[in-house]
Amino acid sequence: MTAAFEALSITKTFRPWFSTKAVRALDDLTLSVERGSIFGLLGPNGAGKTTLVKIALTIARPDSGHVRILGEPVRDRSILGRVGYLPENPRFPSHLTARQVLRLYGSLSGADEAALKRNSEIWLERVGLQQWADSRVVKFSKGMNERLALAQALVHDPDFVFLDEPTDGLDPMGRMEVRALCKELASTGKTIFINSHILAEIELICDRVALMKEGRIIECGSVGEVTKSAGGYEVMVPCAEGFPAWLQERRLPFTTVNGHFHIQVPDRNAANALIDALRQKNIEIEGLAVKRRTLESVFIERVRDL
Amino acid sequence: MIGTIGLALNMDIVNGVMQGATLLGTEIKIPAITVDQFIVSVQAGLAIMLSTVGMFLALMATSTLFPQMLQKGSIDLLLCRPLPRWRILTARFAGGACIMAFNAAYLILGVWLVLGWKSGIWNRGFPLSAGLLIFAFVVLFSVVMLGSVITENGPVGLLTAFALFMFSPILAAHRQITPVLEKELYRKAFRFVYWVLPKSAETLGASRRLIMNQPMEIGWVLGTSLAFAVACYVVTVMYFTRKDY
Ligand SMILES: Nc1ncnc2c1ncn2[C@@H]1O[C@H](COP(=O)(O)OP(=O)(O)OP(=O)(O)O)[C@@H](O)[C@H]1O
Ligand SMILES: [Mg+2]
Repeated sequence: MTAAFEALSITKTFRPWFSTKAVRALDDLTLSVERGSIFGLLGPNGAGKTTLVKIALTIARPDSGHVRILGEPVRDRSILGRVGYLPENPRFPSHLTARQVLRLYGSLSGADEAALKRNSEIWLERVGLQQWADSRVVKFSKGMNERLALAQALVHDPDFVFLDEPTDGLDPMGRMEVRALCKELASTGKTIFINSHILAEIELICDRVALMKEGRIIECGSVGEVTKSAGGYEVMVPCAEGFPAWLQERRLPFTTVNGHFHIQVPDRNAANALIDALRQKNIEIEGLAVKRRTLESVFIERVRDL
Repeated sequence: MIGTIGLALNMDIVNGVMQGATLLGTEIKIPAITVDQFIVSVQAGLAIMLSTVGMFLALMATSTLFPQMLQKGSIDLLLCRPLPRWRILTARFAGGACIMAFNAAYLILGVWLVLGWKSGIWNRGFPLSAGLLIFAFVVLFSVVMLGSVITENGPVGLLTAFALFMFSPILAAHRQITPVLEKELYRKAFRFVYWVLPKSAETLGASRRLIMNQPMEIGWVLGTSLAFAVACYVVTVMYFTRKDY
């Protein structure tokens, strides 16, 4: 089966009129997302996350490269009927009520009337706006607007959903509900593509993540892979005379915790070499840990590095 | 609105000659004219109001339509649908044009019915003039669309349309102006400008002539104005379908 989302060497440069300064938002970016998974695209402000999503939805055009969603090229746009989109800072026509918003955007996506009527009630209930169904959207708070926008992205029962900062403006309950919702959608075979900088959240729900910086993917894999590779290993040994000097000689960083040295090594080979050396000196190994870092620490480190 | 005008305009008709009309109880002194003339001048007066103040207000009210649609977070929700972009733009344009056309038609037909019912005079030119008025609006509205879609700024589109509107009386006087111009080059340039730009003043002038049952020759005026509107529409669609949002 083809991937749910494929971007093939996308390049995009924004060159404003009457301006010599060009911004390369995406630089030969290639990415693919499996069907039925939750995918998280991470990156600092201005990395090009929104630009990629906009190109996928034909809101912007790439200079080169192309995108396929659910196996179909987005260029002929008919596939967009099966795609849902929650943009950043969504804004609805202020004279419409919540219910009218769902009906309007659902029908623009090509959903049939009867299904739409049913679905808009289900989604109003689901995002907790049923008592606001007939209020005009001008009266909505930021979080309510975001909830409505989420319902809007799902009301036509899409198979692929782009969520750009879906928990922006939501309270902790709302965030948890969004996470539960994403899991539920993925379990029914839909693919969810999330842009976010709230890494703790991404860590909780995403099957795979990609880290983006300056228009390029600098890291991609499951949350486990991404955090492990950057974490290294830690070898624990009991404190002994002269041992710190030995470690310093070998330029190995360590900390002392409760009468134990915690020695940090960057990768598996270094860990094995260290263990061999320690065993030759007849030093007991108390413990060995694969250091998993939080996605956040990896993110900060990787983004600062490059 | 029309009902109030109808009620406020309480006319006494004596022998087909106007003795006086009372508007909100105060007597308006009017020289002895026939009811016919009176009705026609009321209608022509209304047409002048609509084609000046009304036109300004209508353009102003509709100038926010496109910038609103183009706001970040709002345009994204439209462009991510499986709809061609020209249809999104056309629907917006048609929506704005229809609202204003409906308002104008409603007002003019209402006044026509009330006046006709009160006086028994059914001036056919008056309801037909609504068509010309709406036409003039749609042409200027296409300029608003062009300006505000390209600059994403309502006032710019509005001012462009106003500028053309204010310039159109000069075009309307082309028969007087062209011979006065000294050089053949200037005359050619002026003629060119005349044929290209929309002739709002002439269109609206024609609507008054229609009301007053005077002869008019406006085929070319309407045709070239329409061509201008179509050009604005085509350029806007081309721009809009290529632009990244
Ligand atoms: N319409 C545009 N015109 C010019 N430059 C643009 C446009 N849209 C985006 N850019 C530039 O492209 C780069 C990527 O922007 P993008 O919105 O994709 O970032 P992002 O990763 O979504 O950031 P954030 O996390 O803040 O939402 C930025 O440098 C931005 O200035
Ligand atoms: Mg963004």
